[in-house]
Amino acid sequence: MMWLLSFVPDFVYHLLLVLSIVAFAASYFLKMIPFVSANAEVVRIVSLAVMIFAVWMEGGIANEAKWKARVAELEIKVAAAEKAAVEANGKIETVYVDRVRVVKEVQYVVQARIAKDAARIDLTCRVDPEAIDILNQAARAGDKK
Amino acid sequence: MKLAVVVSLLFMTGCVATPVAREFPAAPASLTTACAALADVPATDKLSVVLATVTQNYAQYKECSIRVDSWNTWYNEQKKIFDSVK
Repeated sequence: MMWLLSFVPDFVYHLLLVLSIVAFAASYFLKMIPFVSANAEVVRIVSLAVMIFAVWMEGGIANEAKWKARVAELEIKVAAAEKAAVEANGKIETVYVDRVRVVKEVQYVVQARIAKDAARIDLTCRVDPEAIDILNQAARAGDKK
Repeated sequence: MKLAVVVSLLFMTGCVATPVAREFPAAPASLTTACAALADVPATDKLSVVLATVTQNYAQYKECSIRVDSWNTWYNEQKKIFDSVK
């Protein structure tokens, strides 16, 4: 029934409620008016039905307002969370890039040192091909086939 | 009976979901890159060549380890932010 709230403005239900209360009261107190006195029973039943419907819709309007406020509050929180998420992304990425840069810098220094001392390192040590095989086997362990 | 079904359906249309769509943020592309395979040592008898490959692999491992650390940090941070909205 609450879908009606999307099509009919709220003031219509306020108006219906007021009119139904007035009509309901009139069915008791305005018996001097010929139409009312002649149709008092019908006016009472119809106005009561309209009153129930209007009260129901008033409840719906109040509930709708409560949910709209909740949605607005959530939208603000979501926007703040999205901003915080973007900031966190930036910070984490910066830390990552910095740490990787340090690794690459150290790697560069180590490789330069190896290149500089290669002649001395190779002078006293010859590597057996079996050692290379063992190293490569270890490096390939668990690789995707 | 049919009328009762229609009326009850009309009443149920009051139950709608809260229209606030949310998505878990996407991870930075740098953190989602797969770790490369370790390099093989070329056939050689020179220790310097072996050393160069091994240190290159160490660096590669370090980079991958940092990526995993960063990924965990990223997930925990983002989850905390995501769960904070209630």
